[in-house]
Amino acid sequence: MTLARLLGLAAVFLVASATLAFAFQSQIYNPQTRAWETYDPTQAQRYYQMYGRTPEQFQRQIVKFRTAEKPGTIVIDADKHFLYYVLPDFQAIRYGIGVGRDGFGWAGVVDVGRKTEWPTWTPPAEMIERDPRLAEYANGMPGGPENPLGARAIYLYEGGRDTIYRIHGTSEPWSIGLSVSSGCIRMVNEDVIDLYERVEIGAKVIVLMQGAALYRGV
Amino acid sequence: MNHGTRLSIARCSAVAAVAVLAQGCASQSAQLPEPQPPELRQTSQTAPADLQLACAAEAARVYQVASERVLPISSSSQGSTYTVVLNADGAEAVCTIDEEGTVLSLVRA
Repeated sequence: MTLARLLGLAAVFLVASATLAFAFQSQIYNPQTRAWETYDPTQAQRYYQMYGRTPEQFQRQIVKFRTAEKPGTIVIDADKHFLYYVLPDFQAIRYGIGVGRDGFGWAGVVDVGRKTEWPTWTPPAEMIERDPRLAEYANGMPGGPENPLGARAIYLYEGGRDTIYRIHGTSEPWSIGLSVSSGCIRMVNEDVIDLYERVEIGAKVIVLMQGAALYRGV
Repeated sequence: MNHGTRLSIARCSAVAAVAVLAQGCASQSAQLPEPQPPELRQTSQTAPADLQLACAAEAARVYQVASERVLPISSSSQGSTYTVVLNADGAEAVCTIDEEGTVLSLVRA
């Protein structure tokens, strides 16, 4: 292989990497500096403290959604931090979500295996290793407002087996619109309660995320 | 008019002026619009989710693959059309679709 071809391949790789890294950002306008800034956890917490809610585009709303998927299907656009619940007549309810951070995102076709109100949260061993303060919850943290799973959990299964991924509420509502989770889909508690009431066990869940690992089976 | 009466009138006028000013301030503050939240935008130029799924449905039909085995894995915008790369049962395919949801082309990668 010639040097020119190697350099060409390296350039393509760099451009592709930059595109992927750039693709998942939201930006917020700073009127003081008159510039667009990355919407990161600091910006998101400041926004939530100031306005008491998430940005408008992440609030629950009915939108046009032209799909052949049957009503009741959930479609997750992880890149744009939206979850769609398909309605009849080419409409959907769109909710804002938080998704997996770099390396924790995934894509695939799964289904709703079970649902729970005020679920118990049990931190995985690796999480306790990273943060020993969580050891007191090794046997499970009871459901409640401080519980990271929030008010409801919708457990995602594939081929009858638990994927370990869930759609759940959160004790950090400011994190909607960000990629900060360990692969779960988080929603504000009011939204996850709304979705929980609508979605049925066995409903199809399609997760789209550019550049993410495909969940096995696809 | 004696000195006491003049003083009373002056006091009344001062109180009235303060009241008018206070009312003016109050009505002015009531008219102030609430601060508008700053605008948020997304840099992601991926295709809308419904268009990605339209491409996946077309690939499932053309390649006779179960719809659960076809998944969009990346997409990009070219103005009024989108290119969607699909994983169709392990093989890649590239779909072009317009904003109206019409599939313009579908080819194996």
